Amino acid sequence: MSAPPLPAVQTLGLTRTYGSMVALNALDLTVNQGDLFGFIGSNGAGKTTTLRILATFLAPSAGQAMVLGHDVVRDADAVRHVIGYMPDFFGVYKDMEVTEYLDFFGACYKIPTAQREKTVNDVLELVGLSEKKGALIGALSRGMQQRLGLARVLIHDPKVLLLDEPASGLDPRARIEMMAILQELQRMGKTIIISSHILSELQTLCNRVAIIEKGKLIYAGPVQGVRDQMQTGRVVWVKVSSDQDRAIELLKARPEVTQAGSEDGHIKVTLVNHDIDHSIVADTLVRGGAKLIELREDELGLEEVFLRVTRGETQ
Amino acid sequence: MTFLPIVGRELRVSARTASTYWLRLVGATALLMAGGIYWMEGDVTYGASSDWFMAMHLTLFWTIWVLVPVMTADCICRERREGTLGLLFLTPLKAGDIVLAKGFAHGLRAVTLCIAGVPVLVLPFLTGGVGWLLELSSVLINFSALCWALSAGVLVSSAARTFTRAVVGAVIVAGLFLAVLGVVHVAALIVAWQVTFPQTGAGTLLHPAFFRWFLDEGFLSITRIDDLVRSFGLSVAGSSSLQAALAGAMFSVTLFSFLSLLLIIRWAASNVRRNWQDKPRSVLQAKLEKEFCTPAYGIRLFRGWMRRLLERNPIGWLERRTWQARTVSWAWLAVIVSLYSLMLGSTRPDWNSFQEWQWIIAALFCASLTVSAAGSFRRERESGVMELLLVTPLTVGQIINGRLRGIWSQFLPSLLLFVIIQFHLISIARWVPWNRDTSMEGALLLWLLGGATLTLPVIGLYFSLRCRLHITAVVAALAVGIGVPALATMVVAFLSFVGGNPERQTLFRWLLLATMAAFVWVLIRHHTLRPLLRISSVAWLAMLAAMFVILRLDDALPAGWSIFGAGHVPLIIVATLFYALLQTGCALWLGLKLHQNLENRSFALPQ
Repeated sequence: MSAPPLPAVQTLGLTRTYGSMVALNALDLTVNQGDLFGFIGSNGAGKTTTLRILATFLAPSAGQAMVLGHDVVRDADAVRHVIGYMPDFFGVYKDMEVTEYLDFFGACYKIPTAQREKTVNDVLELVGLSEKKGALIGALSRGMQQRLGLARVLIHDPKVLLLDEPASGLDPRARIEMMAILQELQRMGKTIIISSHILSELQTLCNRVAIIEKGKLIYAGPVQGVRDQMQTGRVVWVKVSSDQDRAIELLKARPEVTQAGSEDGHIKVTLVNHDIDHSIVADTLVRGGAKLIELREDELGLEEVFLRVTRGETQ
Repeated sequence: MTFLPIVGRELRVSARTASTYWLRLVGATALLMAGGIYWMEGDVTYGASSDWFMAMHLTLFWTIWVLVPVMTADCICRERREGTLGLLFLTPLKAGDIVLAKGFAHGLRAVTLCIAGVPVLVLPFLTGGVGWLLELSSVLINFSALCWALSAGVLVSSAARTFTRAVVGAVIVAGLFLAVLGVVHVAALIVAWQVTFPQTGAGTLLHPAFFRWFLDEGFLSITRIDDLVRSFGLSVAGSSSLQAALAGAMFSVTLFSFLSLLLIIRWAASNVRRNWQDKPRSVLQAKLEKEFCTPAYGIRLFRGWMRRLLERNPIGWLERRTWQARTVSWAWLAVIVSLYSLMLGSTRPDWNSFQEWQWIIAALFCASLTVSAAGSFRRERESGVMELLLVTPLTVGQIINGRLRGIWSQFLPSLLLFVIIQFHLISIARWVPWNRDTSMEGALLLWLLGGATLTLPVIGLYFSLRCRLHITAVVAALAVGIGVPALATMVVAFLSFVGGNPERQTLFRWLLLATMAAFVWVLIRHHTLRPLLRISSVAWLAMLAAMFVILRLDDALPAGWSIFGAGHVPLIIVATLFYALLQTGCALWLGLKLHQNLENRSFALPQ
């Protein structure tokens, strides 16, 4: 039997303090290889601190963090070769040309000259900036500068990408394009950790998420799992053509239903738990002679889940 | 009074800024030092302190001209750079209100700078001999200087976009305004003279000797009218009426300066009104830059050279990739080549005045080196690139070494040329009979320049990460790199050499040995010293040893063959060694701190 694959990122009791303020409080987190991992939290929750520690920019006050098995403190040099870090600001020289900028970082990563030109062209093509090769960075739009930042991250072909708010401040089109690039990168086998406030996009983009508040991990796992955890019972909304009160009576008589009541012209039905199939609602009403017009299940969005599990407290 | 909220905000901001208090301290210290030196020279006698007062007035006068334009230069420019100027225009505020408020707030800051010096200025009053005209003149002249210096800062700030350009522009405009103030003062004096002594004619005052007299001691010589009256062969009895006329003239100049300040504020307001929005570069600007700042010949060679530079040292490449940085290298080469061509082209070269020029060039070279080093990491810190560099496989040591090598290689060609020609001149100057032997002075100059070139970039880099403002970093680097070692050497030398006492000279030599021992101890103790710092320290120690050996060998040579011509090691050499050790010690200490700060990611956040 082969050994389980090494986690892309693993933190054990990761703690970081700034004076008396605890920015990260014993964070235990595991990100598997190939994950597109969403990192969610209010401002000041500790997301950027976590990413900075993983990028070897900050040292943890306590605990351990490992990227592909390399310790971020003891083996920082190895970690730097396998990660690509994009902070929540551009970090560019505005008077440099696009290729010059990438060439410089290529030299910093010690990519051989012969290989560098091709690599620069490849990453520019990947992020859709091939036509802007000779442009001055200061003349690029915000979205393009963000894409250039992504190109810089990819210049040394890292296995793990740490992206801090990569879509912040972008217009909807630029955001959608950025998300498409990230999906493409995931298909290429990269592990991506992305912190963002645009939760609706993370919901569709990420296969796993972590929610963090005041430096503490509240949830980590699949997106669906967090919804299930938050929803105490499955909620189904029903609309009947007439005699709504009778329909409510019929539903209340079922042992699987904990609650049924009228709300905004619809009947809100709460089932005992998630394992119960919502078809029993339709079945009960049809058998009872009610005319069913509409039936839909109430799914919690990531934003609502986030609002429920966090209090919005910052440090 | 719509401008009051801005005044309030400016004052609150400056109250929270450490540099406000440091500048006051600098002003008061400068006065104290000027007064102290004057007092130590023994020229102060009870009841005749007017000269002492004038020495202090002169210091305050120049402090105003140096500090006020620099303090004010960024006041509006910063708002424009940070995008807050546009926000102010969304409120009912007008351009005039904004500039007036800025001028008023910075004027108040400048006044507090002068007030900080008042306790020191009181000393001559206590010893007596300072007349009312002298006091009044000093207040009026300094107020005029304040108005013009403030005008220079505000005017340049209304047009500039970057901090460095604002400061450089303010200093240049302040120089022009100083000339204007001088002309106005002279004109006022001529009028006063003409009123009192109509028989002499105003043309008499246009004599060069008069101008020299007038410009002495920050225009305050205007009050020494008895000497002036006597020099024209007139009776001193007329001096009292001239005094009254002079007081009136100075009031007029002050009023004129104040009105000029208001006019310049209006001018600055119209600048702000025109330029508050970001505008793209003009066609002419773009054309000029393309014409003069883009490589035109040997492009392949140039690109290949830059590429090799990038391969060898990416961090150093950053320092040299812009045309501005390359211009600095070429400009220094051009200055040195021109100066030596002028010197060597002369049929009867005056080595003595040339040596003075050498010192000036060396001082400017050090200043230029410090300005480059003190601004070196600033861009990376402000743009966030430093954070990106620190997560690349480059180590902190490599980043520092790379940048140091970049700065050194930028200045190396001109330094080498300077050293080679200086050696050549030292060797030939001794054979020119009409010149004094400057070989010792030349050797000392090279020694000090070499030390400064090695150490100032390290110190400048430290402050480029430590200080938010470039100007603060430059001042701090010069203060620590040159000021502190020089001051310490002067104090120790003063305490040890007074009266040529041999015991004190022995004490100084012991102090030198103790400093060297401490230096070696630090080197041994700190195993973590980065390779380049270690190499430079060892090279420095080797240079010190070589200097001793050369001097000892020189002693052993017959009198005619001796290079330095002295029979023993002159004490100035010992003092220079002491200075060099302190300077290198400061550089090593700050080099270590710089390394530590980068390791701990502790550097000043952008403004």
